[in-house]
Amino acid sequence: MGVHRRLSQALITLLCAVSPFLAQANPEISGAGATFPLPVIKVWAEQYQSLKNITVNYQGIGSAEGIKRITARSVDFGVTDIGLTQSELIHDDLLQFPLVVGGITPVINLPGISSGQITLSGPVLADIYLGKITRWDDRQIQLLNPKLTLPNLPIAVIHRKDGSGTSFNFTAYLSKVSPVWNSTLGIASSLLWPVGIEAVGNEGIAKQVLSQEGAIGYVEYFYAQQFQLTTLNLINSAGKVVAPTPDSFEQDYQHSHWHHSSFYQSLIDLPGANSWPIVGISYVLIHRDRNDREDAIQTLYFLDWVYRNGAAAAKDLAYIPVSDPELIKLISNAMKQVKDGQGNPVLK
Amino acid sequence: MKRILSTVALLLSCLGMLTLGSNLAWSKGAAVTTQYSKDFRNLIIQGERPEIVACMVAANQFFKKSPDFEEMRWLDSTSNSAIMNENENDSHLLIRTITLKAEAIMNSKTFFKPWVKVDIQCRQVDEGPAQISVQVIEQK
Repeated sequence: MGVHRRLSQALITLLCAVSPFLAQANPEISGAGATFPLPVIKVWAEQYQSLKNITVNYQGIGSAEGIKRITARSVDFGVTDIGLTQSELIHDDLLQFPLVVGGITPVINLPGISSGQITLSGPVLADIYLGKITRWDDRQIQLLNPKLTLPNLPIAVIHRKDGSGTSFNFTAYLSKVSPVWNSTLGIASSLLWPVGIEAVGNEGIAKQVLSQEGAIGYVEYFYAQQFQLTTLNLINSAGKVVAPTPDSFEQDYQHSHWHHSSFYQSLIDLPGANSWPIVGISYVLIHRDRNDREDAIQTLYFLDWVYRNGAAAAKDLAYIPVSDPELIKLISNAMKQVKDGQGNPVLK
Repeated sequence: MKRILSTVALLLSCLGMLTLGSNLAWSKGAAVTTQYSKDFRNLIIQGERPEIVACMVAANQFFKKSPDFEEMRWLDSTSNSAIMNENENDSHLLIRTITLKAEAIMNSKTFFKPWVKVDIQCRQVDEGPAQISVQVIEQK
């Protein structure tokens, strides 16, 4: 046997012997779900890795898929903008905490029109998504924008294909402002849309709108900024014209409450003269029972770090952080319910 | 022998046609499905809309216990045609209603028991368990 062969065998043996320790030295937390908070989760994951040398692998695959993955226990945490109620959570021993809040904005692609130039009312937006208003120079849109010369273009409606929390919140808004939408389609993470073209994820919608003249879609605000899409003003429940901005999202969020043990609530069309009417909460989902002790501890440490240190990154990306001390205290107490396979709490 | 075999084959094919015929007649061509699980976890993993799953589970349990119905089955269109509404009053009381379309067999002493169209309504008050009510839409 040659020296080289003996050396390489020894190297392989050594690598096999130390690999479990190498793996332990850099543990990985896996998460999946909503694309709505994906940009800020990416930043949190990078910051956490550089500080703690722990990899957070998050896949933005849609809220419904996130619920599916955590239910199947194929990830350590799921993220969803489709909030689950307490009676749903107990079906699968899940715990739910609010992670971050953000605004959802309609976005358009109209030649010669820039952000803030067009105003729509809720009922008119609903009629566009119902297929009742089909052209940009429709009388209903013109009445809301008397000083604007609207293009004679067909409206290309873009909506999500995948099970989506952004769709859930967007349709919750359409349900609230349009009796027809409410009675025929309602609130849905996925549905048979009356009209339109499908796209996957917030990014998919943004790209589709960008590529098609006359298009209208809906995305989390960060994606509108990232893709430099034209945003609209909406008329809110106070009858005021309001633009999508972090400040108008915050105005809506100020009317939030945390009365339910699931932390579930809708932030759609809340009162306030300057409140943006379409605001959604991204929730994190973890299992209460039968967790791998080490994985659960690492996941909870990461989430705890986000609640204590993640606000700046969230604000930088135009999200609203969950940073109220009273709320964080409630979340920390709820986290103590997480147990390992032997039924022991993983946190003291 | 050949004659007996061909008679048996003919009888079997007639029987098959009759079974198929009665199924088509009874379902009126409505697309029904057997793919739905009765369990919350499995329905989620199968990719069902998360917001309607608790209602589907509660409906399954309701029909299992109801003296008025023998059986219930979901339609291929149940998921897409489900309508969810939600309201929260000033005291933060959250009321969620979900309407699902399905078919059921009524419990009766008659020989023919056709599938009838039903609307199943789940009412969930303040995150509590779904309360089920059923409305028979059409006797076939």
